[in-house]
Amino acid sequence: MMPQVTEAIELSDTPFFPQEEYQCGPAALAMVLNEAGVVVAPADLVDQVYLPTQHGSLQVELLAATRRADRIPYLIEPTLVALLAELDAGRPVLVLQNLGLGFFPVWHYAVVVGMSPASDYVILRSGIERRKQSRATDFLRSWKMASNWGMVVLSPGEMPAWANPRRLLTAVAQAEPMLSIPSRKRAYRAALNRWPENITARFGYAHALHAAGELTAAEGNYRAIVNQYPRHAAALNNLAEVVADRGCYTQATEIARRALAIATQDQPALVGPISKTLHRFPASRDDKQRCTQVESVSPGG
Amino acid sequence: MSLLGLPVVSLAAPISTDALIQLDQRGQVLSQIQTQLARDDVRAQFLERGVSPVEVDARIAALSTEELQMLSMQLDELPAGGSLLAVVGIVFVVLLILDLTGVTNVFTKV
Repeated sequence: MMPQVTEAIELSDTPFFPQEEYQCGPAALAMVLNEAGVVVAPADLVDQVYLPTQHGSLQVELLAATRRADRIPYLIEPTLVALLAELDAGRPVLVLQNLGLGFFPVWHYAVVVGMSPASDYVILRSGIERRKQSRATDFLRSWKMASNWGMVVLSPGEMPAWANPRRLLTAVAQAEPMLSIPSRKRAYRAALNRWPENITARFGYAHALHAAGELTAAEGNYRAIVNQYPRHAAALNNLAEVVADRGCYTQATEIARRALAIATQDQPALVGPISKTLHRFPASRDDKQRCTQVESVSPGG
Repeated sequence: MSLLGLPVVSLAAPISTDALIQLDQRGQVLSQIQTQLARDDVRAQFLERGVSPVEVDARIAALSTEELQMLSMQLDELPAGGSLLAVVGIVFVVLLILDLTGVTNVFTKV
C-alpha cells in the first residue's frame, strides 16, 4: 500500500513558524508562502484567515490569502502519490488533518516536508514542532479523515508536479482577480506553453494581455480562438472590446452583434453581458490612425 | 478618440476566464446578482463570527464565486483548523483517554 520510495526526501530549508494558540492556519500558511518567496509572518496572516468564534481557519480562506499574496493556491489530487510528487518537485504541502475522531474531529493544519526511507514516517512542521515524525499509517488516517486535502503554493508561471489542465486553469482563474497583471500573463503563458491547443489558456492569456494594454497581442490571441471556433461567443465579446479599445468602433459593434446573435442561440447566459458590451461602444467615428488591421496569432505563438 | 479629440475611457468589462470555465463545465454562470447575494451573506456571517469590519471585505474579495456560494450555505459545517487547544471539557478527557490508548494522536507524540 505504501509507494516504494527508495530515498528519503526532506525539504529541510522549509521555514518554520511555531503556532500560537488556535493558529496553526496562519503558521502553516506562513511556512508555504515564505517557501514560495513571500516574506510574511503568521501574525500578518491572522487577520486574513482566522475566524474568532470558530477558533480556527477555513480551508478556502487559506486559498484566498495565498491569492492576495500574488501566488496561486493549487489543490493537489487527494492521494499520497500526488503529495510525494510535490515533495519530489521541491514543494512542501500544506495539509488539513483530523487528529481526533470522525464524530469528535480536531482539525489541524500542518506542512509536510518529507518522507523517510522505507516510507515509514512522514516529516511535518506541525504545531510547535519544527520536525515532527509521524508514522505514515497515522498520518494517512488523519489525512484521510480530512478528505486528503492538501495544497501547494505556486508562483505565477510555475506548474504543479502533476499538472492537470482543468485543475490548473481553474486555480489560476480563481486567483486571477487578486493577481498582478504580469502574474496573470506569466501564469496563462505557462499554461499555453504546456497545452498550446487549450482554448481556456489562450482566452486567459488574451484577457491578461488586454489588461496589460497589449492590444495587438490580445486581439491576435482572441482572433486565433475565433478562427478555430467561430461560434465562441465569449471570445467574440472580448475581441469586440479589444477592437473598440483600438478605436475601431464600427468593427467592434459588428463583432459584438455577431456574438449576441450566437449567444441568443447557443449561450443564453452570455446574452446579458454581451448586450452590455454593445451598449458601451460610443457612437463616434473610428479612430482612423489607431484602427488598422490585425493578423491572428498562430497556435504556436 | 472621441469627436472632441479626447481619449475615450474604455468601460470594457470582458467576460472573465472564470466565467468561461463555469460555462464550459456547467453550461451556466453565476449571475452578478447571485454573486452579490452570496457575498453579502458571507459578509454578514463573517462579521457575526468575529471578523473585523476593516478586514471583512478584503477577505471576501479574494474568494471565488463558487467558494462564496459554498460558504453562504455551509459555513458552520466546514472544518476550521485551529489545533490542539480547540478541545474543551469532556471532549478533552475522552480524547486524552483515547490518546493514551493509542487510538488518536491529539496530545501524544507519535
